[in-house]
Amino acid sequence: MRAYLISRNVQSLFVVFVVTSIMFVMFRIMPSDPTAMLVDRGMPEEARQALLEKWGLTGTLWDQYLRYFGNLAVGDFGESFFYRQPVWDVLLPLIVNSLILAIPGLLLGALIGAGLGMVVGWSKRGGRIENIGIFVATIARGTPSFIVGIALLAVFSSWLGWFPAFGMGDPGDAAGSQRYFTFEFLHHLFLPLLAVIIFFLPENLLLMRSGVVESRTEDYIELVRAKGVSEPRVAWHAGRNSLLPLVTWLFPALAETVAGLIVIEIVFAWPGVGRELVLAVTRQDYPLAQAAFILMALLIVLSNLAADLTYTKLDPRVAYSRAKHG
Amino acid sequence: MAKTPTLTNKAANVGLRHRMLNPVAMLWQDGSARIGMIVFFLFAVVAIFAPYLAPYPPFESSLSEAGRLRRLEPPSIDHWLGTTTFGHDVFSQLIMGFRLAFVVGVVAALAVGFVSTLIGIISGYFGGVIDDLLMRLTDVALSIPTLPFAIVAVGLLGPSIENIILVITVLFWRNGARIIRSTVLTEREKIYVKWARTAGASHFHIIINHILPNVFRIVFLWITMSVAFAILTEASLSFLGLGDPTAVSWGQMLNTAFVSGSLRTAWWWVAPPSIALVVLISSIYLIGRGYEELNNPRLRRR
Amino acid sequence: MAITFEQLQAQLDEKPSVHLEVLDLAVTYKTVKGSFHAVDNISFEVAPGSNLGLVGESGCGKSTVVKALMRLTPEDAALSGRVLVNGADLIAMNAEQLQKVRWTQIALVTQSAMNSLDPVVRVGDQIVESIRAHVGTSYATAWKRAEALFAMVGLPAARLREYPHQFSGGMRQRTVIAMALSLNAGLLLADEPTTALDPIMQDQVLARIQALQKSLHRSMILVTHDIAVVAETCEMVAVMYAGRIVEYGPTATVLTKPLHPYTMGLENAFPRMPSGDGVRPPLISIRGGLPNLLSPPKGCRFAQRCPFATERCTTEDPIIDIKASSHVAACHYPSRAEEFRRKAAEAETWNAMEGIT
Repeated sequence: MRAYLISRNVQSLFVVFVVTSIMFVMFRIMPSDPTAMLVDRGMPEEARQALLEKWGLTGTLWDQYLRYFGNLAVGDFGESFFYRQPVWDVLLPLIVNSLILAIPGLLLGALIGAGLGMVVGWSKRGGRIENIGIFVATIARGTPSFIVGIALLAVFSSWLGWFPAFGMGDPGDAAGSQRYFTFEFLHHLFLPLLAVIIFFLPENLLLMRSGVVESRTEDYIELVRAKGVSEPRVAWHAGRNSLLPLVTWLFPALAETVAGLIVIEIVFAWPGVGRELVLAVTRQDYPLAQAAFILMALLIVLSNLAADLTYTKLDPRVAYSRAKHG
Repeated sequence: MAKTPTLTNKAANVGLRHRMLNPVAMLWQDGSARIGMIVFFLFAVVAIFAPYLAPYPPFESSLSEAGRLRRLEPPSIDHWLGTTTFGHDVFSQLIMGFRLAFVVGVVAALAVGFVSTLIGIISGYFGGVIDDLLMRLTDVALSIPTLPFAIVAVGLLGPSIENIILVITVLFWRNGARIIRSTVLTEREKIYVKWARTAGASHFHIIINHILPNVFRIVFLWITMSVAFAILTEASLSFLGLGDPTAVSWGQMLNTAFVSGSLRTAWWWVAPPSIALVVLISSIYLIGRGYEELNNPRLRRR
Repeated sequence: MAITFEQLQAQLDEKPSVHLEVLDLAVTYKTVKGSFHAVDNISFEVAPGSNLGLVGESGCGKSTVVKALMRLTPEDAALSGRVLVNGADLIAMNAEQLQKVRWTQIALVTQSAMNSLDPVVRVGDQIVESIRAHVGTSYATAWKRAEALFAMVGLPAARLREYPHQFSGGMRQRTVIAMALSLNAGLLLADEPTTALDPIMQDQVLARIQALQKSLHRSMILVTHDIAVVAETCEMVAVMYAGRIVEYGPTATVLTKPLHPYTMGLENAFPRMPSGDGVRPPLISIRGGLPNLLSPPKGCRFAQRCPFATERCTTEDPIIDIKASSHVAACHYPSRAEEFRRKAAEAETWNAMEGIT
């Protein structure tokens, strides 16, 4: 078991390394000169060199590469062209903001999705609940997240006026970490959170439903029913077994969520990493864009790892065979 | 010795034609897939005839008789779906958006289909070191976050339709290659492939005549799904302001509405491209769903 | 409210065995190609504390009977007739009543113990679940009961904490038996409890069932295609063919003096001990297969494969009436049984049916 975990972690680290390298190369070999916006043409050569050195842009590509990774190893992402501040300082609060939106969104989306999937999967085959459930979920899955966001804005903000349209709070609200504990903050959080939930829910619903439909014909379900336990309890057995495929299939779904999150942050002007990535790219703020991208890649690698561990936890068979075979 | 390949060849060719037509006929059995295919077909027709259907050039500013720009006008006889903040005709933009969605969707999907099939077949058929290497590569590719990569890449390469299609191809071959590879793995073990091998048929011959026809269904499905992924990615990029500025796309229409702050007022500008996107992408997902219901024996009803 | 372990044990020990009467039970499936009777108007009876063997080749409907007796048939199957459990009709029960009868009165030992246990729930918890679904008792008490049950089937109590995949096939089968005994139900349905096991395990598990049966005095229906097992275990036997019972009576009589040609053929198909003169009778198989139940043949369903079939057999349906006598058969010629038995023992009789497949 331990050997498996170690090899899994090494593999993940390798993937992050490769992805980071790809990004590094992409940013350096682009036709447009990343220094153009940084350095005035009229600047004396000496001053220009000094600046370039400061940004880590001197020397051969290889030198830059080694330097970049050397800095990364100690957690230094460099300095933002736009903010003229260390990238890490810019990103840290944004990461917090993104996670506040993403984690409850994912959990609620998965929970509600799995619950509804359970209902649809357990309903009569070919019945109305099944047909409507699948149809609606498929349409919802085909709805781009920015359209979900726009629709929510149109209904709840413009039309009903219940929720604010953008941002995380009003000017003059509490500052620092205090700001996360105000009503204003929750008020602003509601719509984007709802968008994340709606974005994430259908996939979970459909996966759960497939799992339940598959497991409800298993022999052990028949025996559970024969035992005379209540029908919800029988359904629980089917659901419990369907969680396994759900967890494995969450890998690609999580990667998609990052995509959905970026767009939702833009629609609701939520100051998160995703929004900053788009802004950084349009501002040609490469150190920042690069760092934001690496963070997202890291997130995907970590979530794959987490999914794998959860799977092991949920399915005693996996834990058993891994413990046995190392 | 010489006779066996000719025989199998003939059989394979008959099978090939049969299977080529098969996916559509097969999917027709499923209610939701049928709806999906009909909608997709109708959208395709609009896309093909788009220039004849659009009453105005999409970027032509409409002026009133007094010579003033007709900004943000609600639907009228002149402008069926109203005008944008620049006085452009929404209906014409919507119709031209069909064309862009299909160009991006179909071209990118074919490219994705080609690359995934190539890699999937090489990896699955030859196995060994080639397979190991290609699958490691796929693992790494699978860890690349889709939209962030697209944003960075299009941002660096410059926003144009060609670049967007390129980025989509780079992003989506990976899942397809995996799926196709596993299908090839099972095909490779089939008796007729082994016969053809012992009969002295070349690898190329076997791949073209035996492997390819048998993975065609799954390739077809993957291409279909890729159309949806491509349209979705293009729409997202355009909505984020990274679309081709010289072409009209639904995502870009929404971006313009969003940036100009017209989201809350000009429903006639916002709703049509939104609905078109949802309907088109959903129609493809319905096809994919139907495929799954038909091909997973455990989901099939008795 | 929660009862103690001793109270629970005492309560369960007092449970009487069930008297089961099945009258005209039919299970009908509706398919696109029409409806078919998987089980066609069968009747039989299990006296309290007695064992009934249900035999027949695979596909004859015997497993469907078991499912019907617990109302576990799929939603699209229609049930008719009466299943009287101590007089209460199971077929007429609503979901709530049904839930109460299941496991307290009728328990099931399934065919494929391999797949009958939930793979992600600990074995002990699955047994506890069956107890707590019906008896208001604490988890700890139910667990104690599970330990006692494991002891009864010869498994160490510590293994209750394990998952099904950690068990061998034989251990799983014993777990399923322990689970079936959890509430000391008055009627046990054992649906080919040994088919999934290797021969040595088969004997062990069977011996276990027989021993438990002796000490617990439950009523039991043992479904099998192995006549030898029935001979050892059951007082009564019902022979099924193509969804019907073709012969019914005391095991000893049915095996020594069968009335139905199908029963005679079935016995031929099993290896027997050499008779007194040391000659082992040859194995003879019945040629042909089960008729298509979507469009069953007119007359006797066995007529096509029967070496003694006459004109009458293909036109007129033979009726079986279990009340008529203690040993009955669905055959038009019970009076010629003696003659049939003599001929049926010869391989040529059956080989003459060459034409059919």
